[in-house]
Amino acid sequence: MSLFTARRFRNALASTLLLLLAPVSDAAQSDDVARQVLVLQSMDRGSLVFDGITANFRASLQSRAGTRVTLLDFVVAPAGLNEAPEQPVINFLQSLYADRNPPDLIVTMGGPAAAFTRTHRQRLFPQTPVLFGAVEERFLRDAALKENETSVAVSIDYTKLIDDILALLPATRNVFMVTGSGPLSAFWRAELERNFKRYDNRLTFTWTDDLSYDQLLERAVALPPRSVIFYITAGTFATGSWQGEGRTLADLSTRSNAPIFGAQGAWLGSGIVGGHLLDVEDLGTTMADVVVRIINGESPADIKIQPRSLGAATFDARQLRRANISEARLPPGSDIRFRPPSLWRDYREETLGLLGALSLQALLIIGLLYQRRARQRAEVESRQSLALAADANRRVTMSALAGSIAHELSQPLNSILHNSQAGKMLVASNRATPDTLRDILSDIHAADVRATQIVERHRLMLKARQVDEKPIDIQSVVRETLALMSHDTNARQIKLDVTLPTDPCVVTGDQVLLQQVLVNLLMNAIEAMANTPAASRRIALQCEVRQNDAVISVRDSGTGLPATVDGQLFEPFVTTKTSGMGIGLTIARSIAEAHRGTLDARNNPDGGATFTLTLPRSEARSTSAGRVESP
Amino acid sequence: MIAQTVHVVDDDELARRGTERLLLAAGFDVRTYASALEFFSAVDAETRGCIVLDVRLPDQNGLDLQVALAERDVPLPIVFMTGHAAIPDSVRAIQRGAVDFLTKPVDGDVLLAAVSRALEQDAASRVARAHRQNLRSRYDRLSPREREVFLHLLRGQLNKQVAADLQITERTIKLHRANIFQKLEVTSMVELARLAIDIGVDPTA
Repeated sequence: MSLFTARRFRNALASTLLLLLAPVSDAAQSDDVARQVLVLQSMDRGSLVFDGITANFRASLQSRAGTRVTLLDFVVAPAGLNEAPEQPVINFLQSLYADRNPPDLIVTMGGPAAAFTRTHRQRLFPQTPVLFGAVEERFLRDAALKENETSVAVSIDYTKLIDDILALLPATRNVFMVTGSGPLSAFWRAELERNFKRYDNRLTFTWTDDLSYDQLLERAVALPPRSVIFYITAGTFATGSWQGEGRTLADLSTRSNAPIFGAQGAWLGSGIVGGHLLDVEDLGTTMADVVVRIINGESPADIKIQPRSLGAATFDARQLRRANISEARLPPGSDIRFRPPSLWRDYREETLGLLGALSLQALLIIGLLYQRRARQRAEVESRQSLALAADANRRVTMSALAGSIAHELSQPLNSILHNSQAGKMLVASNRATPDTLRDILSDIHAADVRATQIVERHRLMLKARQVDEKPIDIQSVVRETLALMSHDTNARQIKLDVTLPTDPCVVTGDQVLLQQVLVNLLMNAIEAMANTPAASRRIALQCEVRQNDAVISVRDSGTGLPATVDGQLFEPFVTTKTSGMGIGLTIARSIAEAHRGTLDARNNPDGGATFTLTLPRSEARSTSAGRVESP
Repeated sequence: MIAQTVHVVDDDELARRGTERLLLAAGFDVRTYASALEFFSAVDAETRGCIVLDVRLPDQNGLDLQVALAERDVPLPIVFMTGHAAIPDSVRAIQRGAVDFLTKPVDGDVLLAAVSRALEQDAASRVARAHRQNLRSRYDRLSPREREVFLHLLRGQLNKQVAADLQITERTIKLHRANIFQKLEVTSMVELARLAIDIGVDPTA
C-alpha cells in the first residue's frame, strides 16, 4: 500500500509520548472563512492508487462540504529516496502558516505521510485534528490514536488474492513478488512470508527486493511456465529510482507472458488480471465524509471507521483472455470490465468508448492538476529549491485553469463524435465512398492529435522538473501561455492586445518556468480586473526586443497595486487576494532572477498595473537556430 | 421535398466540418460560416432554415449575435452549442427563444433532434408570418378614415356612437364599415377582431 520505514515508526512512538501533554483547543470557527485543510501526500503524482484516491476525495469533498474548503497538497516523502530530508519539509510547512491561522484539519494520504506526521506531530500544529487516510492499518497498530486523530485505514488480506490466483489458475507454481526495495519492501516481505506459509507445499515465492528496475524486467521476461507476477506497491528500486505504477505495470505486461495480479482497484485496466480488489473510490469518498464530519464539529475520537478491506471480484476481460482464463472460472457475480467492442456493428458504442477514454484522460489530467509536491524552505535560494517551489506554485496555478481543459477538449471531441456518427450513417445507408470515409478518418485523426496537444500542453506544466538551460524562443513562450489562458481570458470577456516582434527572440533558460511567470502575471491581471466593468477589461501583452534584452510587459486596467503592499509585493505570503498563498510573485521574480533577468511592477498613470519581465537575449551565444526549442 | 437548410456558425474548422458532415449525412442542406460577421452579412429576413451556433466566436459572442439577429428581424430558430455551459447563458438564450442549448461534445442524435425541432419551428413560424403579412397587406388597403372607424368598431361601439364620435352621419359610417369588411375580406365582427389581434392593432391606442 505505501512506503514505510521501521525507523521512522520508532521515532513516531517516541514523539507520541512527548505529545501527551499537548492541549486540545477548539478551532476558531467562522462561517465566512474557508476551512483550510492541509493534505500531506506520501507520493508524488503518477501513483495510480494515490492519484485515484486523491481525485475521488477532492470530488466528494467538493460535493459534500457545506462550507468553503481549501485544500493544500504537499508531498512529504520524496520520490526516489528511501529517507526524506524531513527538516526542510517541516520548516516549509511551518513557514506557510507563520502569521496566519494554522490549518483547520490535516489529512495524510498513505503510510509515509502518516508516519511523518506522527513523528513530527508536536511541530506540525499539534492542536489541529488529523485524519490518517488510506494507510495500511498494520502501520497504525503500534501506537493508539490521540483524541484529535482518526483514521480511514485499509486492511488488505493478501492471502485472499493468492486464493483468487489459485482458483483461476490452479496449475500455478511460482509467484514472482514485485515489492520494490528498501525498508517498505523489507516490511512487506517479512509480513507476507509469514502470511503465505500455508502455501508452502503448493507455491514458490520469488522475492525481488534486491533488484534494480532493469534487472527486475529481465527476470520477469524469463519466468518459468506456470508463474504469475504479484505486484504489491509502487516504490523505489534498488538503485533508488522511483516511478508510478502505470509504467511498471505497462512494462511488465508488455514484456512478460505471466499474468499480473495486484490488490488495488486503481490498477485494473493497467495490466492486472483482477480479483478481489480495494475500492479506491470508496476510500476517497469515506475520507471526504470524515473530513466533513470533523469540519462540522464532530470530535475525531468519536469517529470510528472500519478499515476498508478488499471488495467485490472485478476483472479485466483483456487480461483474462491473454492469460487464457475462462470466464466460467470466475467467482459468481464477478464484474468484468474492458470487454472489447466490435468495429462497425457497434460503431456507436465504440465512439462512446473512445469518448470515455478521452474523458477519462481529461479527468485524469484534472486530477493531476490537483497534484502536489513541495518540500521547500520559504526563502527561495538555490536552483534546486527554486525548481521545487516553482513546481508547487505551478500546480496550484494550473489547478485554477482546470476548467479550460474541459472546454478545449470539447472541440476535438465534438468533431470526433460527429464525424464518426456521420460515417456510421453513410455506411448504414450504403452512401459511403472511400473518399468520404478517408476524409472522415483524417479529420478524426486530426481532432485526436489536437486533443493530445491540449493534454500535453497542460501535462508539461504539471511535470516536476529541474531548471533547464536551453535556447528558447520568447514568442513560443508567449504563444503557449496564451493557449493555456485563452479559455479564461475569453470567459471573463477580457480584451487581449498582444504585440509580438516579427523575428524570433532567443533567451537561454527554461520554457516551462517562463510560461509559469507569464501565467502568474496574466492570472494576477485577470483577478485585478474582477470588479472592472466588462467593457473596460483589457490586458496588453507586449514583447519588445531591445539590443541586449527581451522585455515582456503585462498591463491591465484593474484596481492597481495598493499602497499597503508597496515595496513587499514580491515577498512571500504577501497577497492582496482572498484566495491563493501569496507566493506566486515571489516565485515569478525568483524565476526571472534565475534567468539573470528582472521582474518589476508599477501602477499605470491611467489606472491598473504593469508588470515587466526583462530577460537578457542570448542570440550571440546560440550556435544555430535549429537548437531553438519550440514545443 | 427540398432539403431544408441548416446554417452552421463555428470558428473551429474541425468542429465545423464534423457538424457539417453529420448534417449532410442526415440529408440536410448545410451552409457553414467561420464567424458571426460572415453569417450576419449572408442572411436576411427572407433566409430560411435554422442556425447551429457556437456560443464562443472570435468576433462576437453567439448570445449577442442572437440579439443582433432579432433586431434585424431575422427569425431563424437557433440551436446553441457550447464547450463550456454556463447556466446564466443558457437561461438567457432560451428566454430569447433559442430552441436548445447543448454542451459539446453533443451526441449526433441529440443535435439532429434539436435541428429537426428548429426546422419545424421555422416552417410553422413561416406560415404564421405569411398569414400575418397577408392580413397586414389587407389592412394597408384601408384609407386613414377607414382605419379610424376600424378602431372605433373594435372598441365595440355601435355605428351610432362612432358617428357621434367622428361627427359624421351614421349612413357614412355604414358605408365605411361595408368597405372595411370588403377590403379586409371578413364577414363578421368576430373575424374583424381576430384579424386585429393577429396583426397587432391595439384598439385602445
